[in-house]
Amino acid sequence: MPATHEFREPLPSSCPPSSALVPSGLLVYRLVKSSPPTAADFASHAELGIAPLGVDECRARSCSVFSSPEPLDRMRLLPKFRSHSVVVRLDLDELSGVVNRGHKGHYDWWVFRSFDPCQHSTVVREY
Amino acid sequence: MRYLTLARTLVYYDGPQVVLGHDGRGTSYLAVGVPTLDDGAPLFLAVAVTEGKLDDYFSEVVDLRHIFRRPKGDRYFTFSLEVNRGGRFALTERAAVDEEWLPAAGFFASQHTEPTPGAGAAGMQVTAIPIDGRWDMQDLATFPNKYADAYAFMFAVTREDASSDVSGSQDHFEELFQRYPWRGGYSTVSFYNDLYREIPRQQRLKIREIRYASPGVIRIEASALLTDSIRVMVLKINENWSAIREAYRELHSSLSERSFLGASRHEIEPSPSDKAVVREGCRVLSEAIGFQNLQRIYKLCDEDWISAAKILLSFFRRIEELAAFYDSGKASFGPTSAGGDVQ
Repeated sequence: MPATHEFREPLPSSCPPSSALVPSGLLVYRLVKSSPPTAADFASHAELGIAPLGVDECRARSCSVFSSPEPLDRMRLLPKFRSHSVVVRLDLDELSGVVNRGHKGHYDWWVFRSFDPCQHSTVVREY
Repeated sequence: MRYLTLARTLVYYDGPQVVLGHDGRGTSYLAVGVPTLDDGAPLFLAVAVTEGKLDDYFSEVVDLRHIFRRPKGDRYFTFSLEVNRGGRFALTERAAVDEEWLPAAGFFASQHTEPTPGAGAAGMQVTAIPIDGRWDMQDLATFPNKYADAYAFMFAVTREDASSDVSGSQDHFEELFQRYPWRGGYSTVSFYNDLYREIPRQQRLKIREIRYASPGVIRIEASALLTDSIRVMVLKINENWSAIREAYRELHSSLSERSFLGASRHEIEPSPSDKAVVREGCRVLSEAIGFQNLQRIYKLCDEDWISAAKILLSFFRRIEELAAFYDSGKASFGPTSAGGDVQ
């Protein structure tokens, strides 16, 4: 990874995990509150100061995205996300950070300091 | 004071959002993250859930809202991930819960973002069953019902070399095969329902898609071995229906003429020649339809050929009814693909 690409948050050792990849043309979707989105819409729990002790600190410093918008329809069924009424799309590449693919199209995304998610977001749906 | 130990995260989005845990007595809880006024430390709403309901939830028989609308004991609790005592989270009971804290309808276990340990059982595949012609409501009920019966039966009779994940189930199967009096009637339906319930959740039949059209498709996720066994038997039945039907009639008559059909095993005393005739009839029918587990039925029936014959006949009736769908062209054999996390 080029030395100029620092992560926007200090990460613990062995973070991101070795399975993390540099994206290239990866379209991802995220549920946010604001249209257009603000920096707070992409802040990790650790950055917001709400990551509890004992929760995986590496993941707590990531931002969740999905490879398709459909899971976000279901996520809005959960009480925490009923107020999140905007879906944005981003096209991730080597300048945006690294991602770790999880289950059912979910990705943990560790954002580079030099990348502004707000600037690169396209609102694709407002509920 | 109750304390909750978290077992695992089921949904993760920026942090844990739906979690599974248990209290000191081993009672399971499901908990969901709820909004707070200041968007501060994550707060969770938790409900106790019976093992049966938990199984229903993971089997997607019920959604998450159902679990929270009908909690065990009608009690609600909250806890914060910030407040823990040695990894255990203190549960605070709430008198009432606002609607805004409950999940909306339609969130099922398949929406979990975290993998389930042991999910995606080995040997599972997605099988497409092309359908065509006119299917009425009865057809849509009968086809899955007969398929499930055949699947459950084949699961039971092929478990002799079961792996450790079904240890203990083999005794349950023996008990099931020997529990019923086999006098005919509704007990047969109960038998197949009970067999199906013995199948571990990850190995049960799952419907992945139903698209009714002409042509349409039913896509199921199931054990590759078992669906292949069913396919072989369906093909044999349709290729040689007259001879197989005759073999069925012969075996059925051998029981009927001896008044064995309407009596339980404890009410009859078959002679050695009775047993020999019935055994031969079972062998002929089994061979004709390509059923390879006759000895297994015999063992599960505590080495009673009369009970084994009745069970074989009941199985044949079900798979014959299934075969009729294929013979009529309403269903056919389609391609298969790897199972597991199928979208």
